[in-house]
Amino acid sequence: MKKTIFAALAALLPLFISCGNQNNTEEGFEEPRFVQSAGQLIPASGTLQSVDLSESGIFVVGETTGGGGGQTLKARTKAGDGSGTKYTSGEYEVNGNVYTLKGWGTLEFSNTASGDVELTYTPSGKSAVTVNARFTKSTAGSDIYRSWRVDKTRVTLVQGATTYAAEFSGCDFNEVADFFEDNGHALSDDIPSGRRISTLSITGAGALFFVYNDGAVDVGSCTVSGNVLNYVWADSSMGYSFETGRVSFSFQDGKCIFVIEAKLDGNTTASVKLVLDDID
Amino acid sequence: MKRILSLTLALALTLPFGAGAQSFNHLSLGLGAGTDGLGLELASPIGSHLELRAGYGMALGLLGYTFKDLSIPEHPGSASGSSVKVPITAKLGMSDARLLLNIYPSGTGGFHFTVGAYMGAQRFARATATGLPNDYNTAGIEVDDYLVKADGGVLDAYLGAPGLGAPAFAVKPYVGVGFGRAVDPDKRVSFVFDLGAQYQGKPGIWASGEGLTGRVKDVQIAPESLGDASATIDKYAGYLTFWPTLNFHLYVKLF
Repeated sequence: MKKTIFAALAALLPLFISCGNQNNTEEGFEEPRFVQSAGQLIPASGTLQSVDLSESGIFVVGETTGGGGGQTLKARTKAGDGSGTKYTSGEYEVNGNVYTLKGWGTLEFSNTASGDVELTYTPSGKSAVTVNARFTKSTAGSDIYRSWRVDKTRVTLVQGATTYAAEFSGCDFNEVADFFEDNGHALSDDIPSGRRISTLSITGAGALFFVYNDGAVDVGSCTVSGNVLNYVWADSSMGYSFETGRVSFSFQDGKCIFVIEAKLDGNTTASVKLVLDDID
Repeated sequence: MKRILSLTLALALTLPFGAGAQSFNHLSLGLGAGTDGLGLELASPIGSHLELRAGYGMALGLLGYTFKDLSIPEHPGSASGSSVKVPITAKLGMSDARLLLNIYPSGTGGFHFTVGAYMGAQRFARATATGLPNDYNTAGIEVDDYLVKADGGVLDAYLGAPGLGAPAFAVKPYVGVGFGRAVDPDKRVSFVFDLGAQYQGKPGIWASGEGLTGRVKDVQIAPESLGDASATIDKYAGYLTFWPTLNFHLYVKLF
């Protein structure tokens, strides 16, 4: 009988003991599909300014516009070229040395190693052009080098010991700016209404580019050191008036977390955290 | 609190179990109600001077009170900006197991001291703010990368304290006095009245937050994060370091 009573009493005790399951294991990322084909091409002459090829199969082509049409942006890599550049983005496929840039045309060059190459490019509906170019092959070797989609954006204001934050689906810089303004920190910006980030790419060849839902593209260059990415934008079409900065990043639960921090005033620090899903 | 518990337990150990009295020879099932919620207990005697009680109680949603004059910032991150009043309804919210020892100075009387502990969830009161401004559906307070925000203008939080335990498993020592025997050898049904206090420490405000990657976790919110309401909340929290526990139990002897 005593055993029965003890068993009954003991059975009640472990009820409702919290057993939190903290699964902190880091997930690895699969190697991007085009890691062996990714890189950056800088033609030595002609109207083609640059071609960036992400490890996830997204390209950005920069072409000289002579100042007319499309986005007029300063050239980022070709010294002495003061004309505007129009950027076009899309997905690409590779077959040997031939790249098919959907919506733009084709490229053909030897993509086995970095160095000077002979590049033949054929914009859709136009004749092929052959020029010398410098190819920088992706160094790969880091999970950060790929294309990402923005799952959500977390904006924070740190005031004293309290952190206020707002969270938005995807990334719309207008929502970010509105949050700062509503909470007493108006930003100097000229953000196009309704513009959202479609994809964000960091390549092992040192390129950083945002592709927006309206087809606009922001391009820049970057270097990665540990968990810090230093970047220089070649333009400012996102609307914010800054061109250089640094981002810390980390990987958690199969996502990449981008954290951009800034000091707004003496008592307030702000951050924008982008939660990224890999495209592959 | 530890000293009181030690002294009481020492007293219990000096009491004779009772010449000829048997231990764990009876078992009663009790139903109770009080400031510790609605409870279900099993009780068994240890000699004639002690009774061991073990059970579980909960008070989810009982005894509500609505605070109508608490103000919060219209925009969560703008404490110095305009504010709005929102009703906040507080209700009991404990849910815990309990292990208690009744100590009867007399081998036959009903007066007793009780020592023991309540264990389990640290939450003892729930609070729900309704009618929050739209901003609170997307914005709120971030704690360790977890964002606490409203859903449809409603934000749930709770007051919690771990006592001598931890947030994940609170241990709240209890000391009290009472009258009645949970297991009366001569009666099938008995009543027990208890009055005492649980030590739970100064409570904090807790709420569910969502991490950057979608993980959900309860986080503690600093009172100063809540604007004008912080002083009121902090004052009441200080009063609740000891949770007054008053309850009545009806026991039925099973054998």
